[in-house]
Amino acid sequence: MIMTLAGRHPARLGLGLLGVGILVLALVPTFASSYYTSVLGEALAFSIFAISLDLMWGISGVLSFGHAAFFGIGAYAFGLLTQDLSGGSATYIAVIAALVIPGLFGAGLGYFTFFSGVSGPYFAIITLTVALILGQAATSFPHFTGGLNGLYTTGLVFQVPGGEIDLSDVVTLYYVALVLTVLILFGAIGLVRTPFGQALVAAGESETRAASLGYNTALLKTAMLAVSGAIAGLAGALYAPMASFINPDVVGLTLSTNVIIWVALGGRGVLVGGVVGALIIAFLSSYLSGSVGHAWLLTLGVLLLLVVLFRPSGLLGTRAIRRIVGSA
Amino acid sequence: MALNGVDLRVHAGELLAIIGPNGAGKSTLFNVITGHVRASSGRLQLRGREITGMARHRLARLGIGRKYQVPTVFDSLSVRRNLTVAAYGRSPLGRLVWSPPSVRERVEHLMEFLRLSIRAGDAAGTLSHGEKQWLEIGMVLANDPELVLLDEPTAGMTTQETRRTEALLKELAAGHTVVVIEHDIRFVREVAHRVVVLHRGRVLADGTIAEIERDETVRDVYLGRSP
Repeated sequence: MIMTLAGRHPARLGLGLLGVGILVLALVPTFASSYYTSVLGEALAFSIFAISLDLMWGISGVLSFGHAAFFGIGAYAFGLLTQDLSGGSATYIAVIAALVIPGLFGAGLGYFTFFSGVSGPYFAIITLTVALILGQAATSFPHFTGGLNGLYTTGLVFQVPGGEIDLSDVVTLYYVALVLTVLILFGAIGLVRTPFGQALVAAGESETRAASLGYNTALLKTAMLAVSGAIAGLAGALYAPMASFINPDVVGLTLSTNVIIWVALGGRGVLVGGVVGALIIAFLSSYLSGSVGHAWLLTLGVLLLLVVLFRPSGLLGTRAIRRIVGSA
Repeated sequence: MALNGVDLRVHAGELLAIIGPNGAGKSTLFNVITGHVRASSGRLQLRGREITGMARHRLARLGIGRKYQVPTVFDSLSVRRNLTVAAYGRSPLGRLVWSPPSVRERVEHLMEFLRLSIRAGDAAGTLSHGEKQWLEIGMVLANDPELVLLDEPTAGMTTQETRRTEALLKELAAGHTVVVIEHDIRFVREVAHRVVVLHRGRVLADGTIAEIERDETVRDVYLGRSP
């Protein structure tokens, strides 16, 4: 039954399943413990981050190995500004900064790499280095960033007409994260389906051919890196109040690697893959660490190995879904 | 030296065929014109504008389009998306955020014209060799350059497929300036206004097909002596 439906109306079926998924996520706070709600809320922030990586890796064919640089810049921009500014608009300014600064950073990084013909593994190495440098910088300037002790991001509120959104409440934050995830997911799919996104998908397959058609592939990739950086920064800003405090971990290598794993597990080039990957890993990590104790990392490793061996394009990385999203 | 002292002028609206034995420098000539290879010396001009050494995408934007010898389509993209990507190739970045219905209609028309409508949603990698060649010709049409360079458009095709390709190329020639590399002399006779013979990187002869076929040297090095 599902197969016939999928054959005839793959887009409708996909949207239906996505709708069910969103509905289930929306109901989580009503049946899950506050602990699981916060675990999944954090996973939603991470899934926005994963979407930003997939825009580069899965869609444009460029792997960033230091994507936490953007996430971390967003988190620190948000953390520092909410600490230093006061008044009703402080949180808004902090959010805008968390979008704009990593976005500009992405544009700058793209300018110095893509326009010089840097691609493939070289881009991965450069981004890796950038993340390492930023991680070190966050540690080395403690009076600015709080160093290893971190920076507290608690007790924040959003002034909205007719009240305020309390960012220290787990359930409120969860819903903010869910709404943002859905918006970013659909926004990203929309972006991939524009001629701009299509050109990047094409350039990801053959840069030479895309250039022969007139596309300035360096400019396109730089623009996408700016967008991707801004989304990653927003994810960082969302994560900051969830974690209550941020330290150099948000900008380093571990997070950069984790986001690659989320996308690889869920499926790359389908945008929703990173969301599913981040949710699965978050759920399994907290569930397994409770049930099998210290063996949880091992179990997770075996699971990843199985996916890489038997579904190299990830759980959802099918051609049918790629076509709906616009990446095939 | 792959090319040596080649002085070639292509007139607007012309269909110029380049023939010559393997290794004569035909594809190299195209590679130089489209910026894939930089010539060690010499100049290129397009409508009086100096284009020597320009980046590939800028040459494409100025209106130089190319169909490669080996069909180069985006294998993982659907037929429809291949044509759409080609249609937007020369648009500025700001125009890439929205797809007006006019472009979508043009792509649908093109697919009908190419007889690829039923394969619209299929990955281009699954097309037959002939279909890929037609898709690539369609991509050139969608991209709408002023000067079209075609590298052996009928290579590896059955007689039937070649006929169909001829029809497509005539359509292409109607609104564009075309330079075509081709081995099939019957095909050249059928479509070309003017023929240039390349041999060992030099222009050996330049004229109408009748003149070329009468030329003694050309018969010696390329066409052969049979009737």
